[in-house]
Amino acid sequence: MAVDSADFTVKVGEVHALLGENGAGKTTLMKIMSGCLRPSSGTIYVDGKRVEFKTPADAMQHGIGMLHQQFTLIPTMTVLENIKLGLIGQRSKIGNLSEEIDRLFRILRLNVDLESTVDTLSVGEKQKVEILRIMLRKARILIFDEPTSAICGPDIDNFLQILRELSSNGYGVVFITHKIREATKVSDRITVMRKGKVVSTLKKEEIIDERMLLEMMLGECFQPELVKEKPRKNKLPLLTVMNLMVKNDQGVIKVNNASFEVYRGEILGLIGVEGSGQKELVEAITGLRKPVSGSITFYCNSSVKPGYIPEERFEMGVAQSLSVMKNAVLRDFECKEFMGRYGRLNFVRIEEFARRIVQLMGVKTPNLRIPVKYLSGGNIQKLIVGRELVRKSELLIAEQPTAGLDARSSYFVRKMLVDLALNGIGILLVSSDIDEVLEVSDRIAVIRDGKIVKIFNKDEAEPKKIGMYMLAAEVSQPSQ
Amino acid sequence: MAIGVAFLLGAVILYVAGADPIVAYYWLFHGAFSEVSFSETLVRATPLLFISLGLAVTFTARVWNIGAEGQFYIGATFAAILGLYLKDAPHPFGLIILLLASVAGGVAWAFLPAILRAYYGINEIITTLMFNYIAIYTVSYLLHNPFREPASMFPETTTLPEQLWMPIVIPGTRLHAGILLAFISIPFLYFVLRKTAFGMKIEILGSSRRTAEYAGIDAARLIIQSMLISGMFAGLAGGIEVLGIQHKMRLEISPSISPYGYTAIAVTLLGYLNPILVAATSIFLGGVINGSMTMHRMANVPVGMAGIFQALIIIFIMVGYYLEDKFANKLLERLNLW
Repeated sequence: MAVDSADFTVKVGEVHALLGENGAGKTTLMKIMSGCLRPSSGTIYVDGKRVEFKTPADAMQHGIGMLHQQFTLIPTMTVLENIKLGLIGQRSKIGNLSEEIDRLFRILRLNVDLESTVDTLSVGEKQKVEILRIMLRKARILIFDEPTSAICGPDIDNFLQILRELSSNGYGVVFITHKIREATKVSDRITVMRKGKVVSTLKKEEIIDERMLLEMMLGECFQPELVKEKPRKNKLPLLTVMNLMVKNDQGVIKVNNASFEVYRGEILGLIGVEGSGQKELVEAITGLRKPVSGSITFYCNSSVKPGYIPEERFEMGVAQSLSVMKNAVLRDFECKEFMGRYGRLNFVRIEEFARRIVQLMGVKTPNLRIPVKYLSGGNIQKLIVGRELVRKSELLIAEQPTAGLDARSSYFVRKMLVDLALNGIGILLVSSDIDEVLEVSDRIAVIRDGKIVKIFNKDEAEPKKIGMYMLAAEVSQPSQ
Repeated sequence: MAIGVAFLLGAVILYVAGADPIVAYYWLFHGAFSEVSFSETLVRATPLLFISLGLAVTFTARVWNIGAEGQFYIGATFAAILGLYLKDAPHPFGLIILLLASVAGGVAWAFLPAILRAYYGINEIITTLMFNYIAIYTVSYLLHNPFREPASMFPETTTLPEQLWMPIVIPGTRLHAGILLAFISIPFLYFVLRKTAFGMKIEILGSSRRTAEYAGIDAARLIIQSMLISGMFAGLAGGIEVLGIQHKMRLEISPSISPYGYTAIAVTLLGYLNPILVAATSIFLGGVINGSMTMHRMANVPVGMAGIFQALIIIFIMVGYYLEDKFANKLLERLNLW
């Protein structure tokens, strides 16, 4: 059972956040409200009238529209074509399409050419086009499923602003998220869900602090404490990247003359707008992509491959059809530790090792022999992170290590990163989550258009400054 | 269950084709698994088993070698032609050399598609399939012209001397030492695929090439290796068929209604790429092939019918697997593992 006797109301003109950990039932509840799923019991009322939705179209008839995490736009068609595509069978209801589009453009602060193709739009713009499509269909209640997971940094603030804008224009907004900070920033009311049940619905005024919401989400006292101060005396470089140039598959230069070091015992945060070259940079460091020029030098024990938590969990981080056990040694099974004679694998040791990771990370799995593909996304993520944290590598490259993890596991992973750094491991943390980077990093490198534009020390880094470097080149750079 | 449905539908088709289904099925089973015919079933199963075992490796790596038929032909031809020049070689040595030659033939025939796939990403399904035509027509040329036995009415090579034949294991049957080799190969391949680092690499590659690269595996090299392994087994199957059964190379060495190289693809998939299940499936299908031939001869069923019948069985088993899988997924869902 994903949702158990939950009550939820949304009014027009409010932003109502639905907060909970992964798997708490937020999305399921909203899918029921928008007609994507049918409840086994319970009723839905719209304007006080009892209704029954068989399909999303039924819900749309009653003015309820849901925006899913994946975009449904067709990238090769123009914005206008995509908008019209969403209106097939309904055009008659809209008086003057271009006037209506203009009005919605203003509300959404969207400023794109209707004739440009969708693939030239930024992620944020695409999202707005998606919203516009639903608004055009006369929706009054808009449900957003984890809308901020696709965007980052300053775009998130813009997006939250738009949610406010929508509510003041008389729309009811439901904002599904697991990020407490975003929920408190924008909402009039917050409903917290845990394990399929609604824990509580709070008005803005009733919320004392984030801690309180966190405890409601997790269902227990939880102390998110991180060791922040730490002695970092030795300045021994572990990884040096010099004048690195990397092209992507299309031959476009994605990393342009990047130079930086990762020292022993430090966490270097690498932050940038998605697609700024982080991916190619990491691929070059991990040996998956040949750089055009420049050098990458490791000063660590070469017998162990550097730890690497890839962003592509499922296509890369695990072999889906293989067992949990085998995936636990995915990158080390050829080490002496796991090999017997005649090329044979030592499954006793492998099982021991896998059990350790599963216990450490709290991976939920019925046994170690089940194929990894039967685990949930969060559990797969825990397995990958656990594997890379436990491997005895001196350098760890972590790409979005907490994406898709619930609050508790995220804190745990961050804490482990810090602990590892304290033990002398060098970590390159690639993340689009400013808060996360600020929380654990010793230094923060900002990448923009493939260039490392700034490296902050922890004490001089502020979200605003970082955001400025992440985004526009036209912003005049302070003190330079 | 699936097999049951296949037989039921088969019965309808047999009836439509004008045969008595019960009589037909009697002969099917008689021809497949009765005391007199089981040795022939094993004879059929031997090449299927060899080829499928090799394909199990390749398919696990998600490399689709459709070229086993060609590799089989080339392996067989290598053995048969080299045999003509080794007429006087003493007993085990000549035989061993010829078997090695057939392996070399199969490997050579798989090599170019393997390289094309591994380094240039050229679809191996198409290349290996085309290589089958090249192989079969080249062999046809060789059998019609330079290597044709003048005294024979058919395009075939001269029969090899007896000291080059595979020894018979059970007197009075055609069961030869090849079946023993095949049975030894089953646990060996099972071990390689399931228990070794090499097998694990193959599995990882089959899961996703990106994962393989992430795990530090040289994917291109592994693609070539896996392809050559199946070429090796297909070639060996050809050599053993020549040296154990035909004692010469003929164009119909692979039965035309169920060519070994293609039937083995079905065997491998039906056997879930698991060497042990693959073995069981090749014996079963070997039986179906033989049985449907008997059915054709004894119950007045057209030979094409036998082919249709074999195809139906394979399709129904695949559908059955799918349904089972779906059911298993439902069950897991209930257990809340998602």
